[in-house]
Amino acid sequence: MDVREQYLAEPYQTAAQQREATFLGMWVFLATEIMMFGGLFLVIYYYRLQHPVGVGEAVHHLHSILAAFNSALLLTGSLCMSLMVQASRLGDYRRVQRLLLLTAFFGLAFLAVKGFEYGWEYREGLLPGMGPESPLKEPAARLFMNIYLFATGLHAVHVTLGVTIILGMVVRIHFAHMKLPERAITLEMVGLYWHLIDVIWIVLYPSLYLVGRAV
Amino acid sequence: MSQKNPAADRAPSYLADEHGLRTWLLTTDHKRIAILYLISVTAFFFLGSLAASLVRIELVTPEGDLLSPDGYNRAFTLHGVVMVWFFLIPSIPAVFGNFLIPIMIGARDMAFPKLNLFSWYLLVGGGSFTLYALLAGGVATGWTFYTPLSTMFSNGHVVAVILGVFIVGFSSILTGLNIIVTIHRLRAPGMTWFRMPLFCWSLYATSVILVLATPVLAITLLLVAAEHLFGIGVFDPRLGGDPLLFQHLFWFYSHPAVYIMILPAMGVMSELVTAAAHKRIFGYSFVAYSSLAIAVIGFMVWGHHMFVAGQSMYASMVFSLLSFLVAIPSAIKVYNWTATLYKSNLTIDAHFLYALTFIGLFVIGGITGLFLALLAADVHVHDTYFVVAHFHYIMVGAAVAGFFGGLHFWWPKMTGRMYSQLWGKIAAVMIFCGFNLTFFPQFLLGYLGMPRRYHSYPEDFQFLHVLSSTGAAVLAVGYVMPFFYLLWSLRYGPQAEDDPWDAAGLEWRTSSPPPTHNFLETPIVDFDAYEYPPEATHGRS
Amino acid sequence: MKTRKLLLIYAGLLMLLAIGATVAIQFPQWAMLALVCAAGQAILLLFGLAELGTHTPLVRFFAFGAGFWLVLMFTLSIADLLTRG
Repeated sequence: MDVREQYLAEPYQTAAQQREATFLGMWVFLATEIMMFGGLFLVIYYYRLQHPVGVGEAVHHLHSILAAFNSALLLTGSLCMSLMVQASRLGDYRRVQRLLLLTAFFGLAFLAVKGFEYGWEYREGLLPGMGPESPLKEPAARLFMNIYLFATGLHAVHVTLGVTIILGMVVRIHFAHMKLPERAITLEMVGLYWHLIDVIWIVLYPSLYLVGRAV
Repeated sequence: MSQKNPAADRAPSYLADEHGLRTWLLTTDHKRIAILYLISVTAFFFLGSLAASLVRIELVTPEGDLLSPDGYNRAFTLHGVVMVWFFLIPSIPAVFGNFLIPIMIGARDMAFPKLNLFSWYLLVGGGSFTLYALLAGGVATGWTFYTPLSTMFSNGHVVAVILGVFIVGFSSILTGLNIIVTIHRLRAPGMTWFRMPLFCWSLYATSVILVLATPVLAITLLLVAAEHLFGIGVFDPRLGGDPLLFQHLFWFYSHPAVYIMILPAMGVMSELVTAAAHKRIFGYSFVAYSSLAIAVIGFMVWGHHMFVAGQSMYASMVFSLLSFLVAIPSAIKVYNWTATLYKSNLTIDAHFLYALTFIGLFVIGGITGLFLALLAADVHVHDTYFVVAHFHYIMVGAAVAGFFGGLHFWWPKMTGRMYSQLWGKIAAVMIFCGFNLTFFPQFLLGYLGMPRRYHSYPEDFQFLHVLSSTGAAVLAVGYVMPFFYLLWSLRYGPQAEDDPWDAAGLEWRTSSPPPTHNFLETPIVDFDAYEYPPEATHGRS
Repeated sequence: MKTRKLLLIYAGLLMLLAIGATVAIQFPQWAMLALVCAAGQAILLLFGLAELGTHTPLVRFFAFGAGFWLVLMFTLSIADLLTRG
């Protein structure tokens, strides 16, 4: 008997069936996340087409190089995640824990840089409704800054959630509540979630910071 | 069907397996969760009806005397929000879908039982949130939360209601996710896609919509909440924000949401019609594929809500054409049900009367929908009672009839008790008559120019409004009656047999009510859907 | 999955990021290239790191299903915006 069958949940007959159902369920969930951010992307591109000049002015004021550095941080986190999944399949507890902590570190670093960036924008008066007077002349530029704040904020909430889940996993492994490699699938799910957050940022970065400066 | 699950007789039913409130609130059994859902959506149904009664009573006289203009707006908003998100959307998928899908495909439970329970808590949590907001004063934006009304001018509890809807949205997403994975991965050996009852097909299509459309509503409502709360205005017209963008996002969810409400009822219909006719459905694969077609095409028609809102004429033409297309799969279903009934060995039970109600009212609702999809005609009747009557024919006449039909059909399976057929038929007839009396005058009102959402009106309209309110009273009695005789049956009704309607399908092969794991041994399916023996099909003809 | 392969994918991701950002900042009129790079990154990440390729076609179907629906949403909404008189 496959050892994993000891961990069968009630409705399932075989471990393979459970594994496939888990992956399918996770991807359907990730599809809902994609649709959710998809609505936001529609807002971004709709206004880019409607108000190209205003959006161009706002994009010029964003700190694209700092954000590129942030992208690199998130990508590094994803690499650590994949290495962690690899280690979890081998049942290497210590390596799994170390890589999880490393991913969480990159996630937190991303959030810290993002916070620093918000602070910088606040001092420049770019953030809506606060700080010194806005240097943005076009009303549509301020509209775009609203979208920027909302989109990056929502993404940051997802990163925070991801970091929390990762730290939860570290604690679970520490108190030996997770048997590896039998329960590696839980860690794979965490990995998928993290990769998705990363993919969303990959598309969000050029959509907010890069396109439209020419106008 | 004489073939029974012999082991089921020895196992205690899911109702008798464990006792105490705690075993219900912490259960992961899909059947118990379905009962929890049934209780909660019934409560929301009565709450929403109460608001509708206020609206109808106010409209008896032309003057606004019962409610203030703002109070009237709050009453119909409460009615819309509660009925759409807390009754219609969870009603059939979460109650009958939860109860029946695992049994119909021969599984022991849903794919993710804990998630299933969690989604019920989300419904209750979101519901109480909304309830709090409504008790504290409510909102007056209508269920559509159009900007800039909702973001800049509304003084009600917009954010609290939005959060309630947001939370219940996650409940729908999780239910949809569970159904998709269950149907894909937990079918019993031999249960191929084309052996599944059509109820499963239509719920699968519904779940695809639930999973892909609801997140768009979630983000739209979050944007509105952020604008209302923090002034992070994405739709702010002062900055060049476009109210049409909000409408695009909102209707990208909310038009498919109409199919979330009607598709499951269509699935129930396929079961009711075949069980009453005792024969296989006419054109199984057409009915099955038409569910998927509705799910896909239903995503491409949302612009017909914006014909007079300033949308581009060319886009309107495309949306108009696509809206006509979605009528094709809907018509296929109606034709196939009627063709199934043709020359069949009919048994007319209470649930079959609901099925007939569905067919008649859905046809009227569907055809008036085509008037509204017509660009020029829509300009005349847009935002009038014609629209109100149209969508109530679909939402109430068809979807709620489907819910009541399903409730009467599967009540013996869910509870193990029979109710009084006579009372069931009286209630069904009252609902049919009351419904038509309520909403048919509204077609006339709308055509004559009575706009929706007004609490006072010219005296010329009073006769039709009084007719409509009288109908609403009849309808209310029809809706309250099942509440009593069904509850009565729980205590005094005779024990139900395993298959009281002589219907085919796996759910009728286990005991009534089913044991905790549905079947003690996983059934092996070597028969087609709706496989009735020839003597059942041609018994009397 | 070999560690070496993961590292190669990681290098590819960083390279695409660098190319996209450099082009968009230095030659703003070519900024659309950054979106192409982003699409490349997304595919590389989904198939390389998230191992989408190793799953059943059904899982891939759902993973890309959302993309299909987004295309519908974008096409029809943007078509309205662009053809308004």
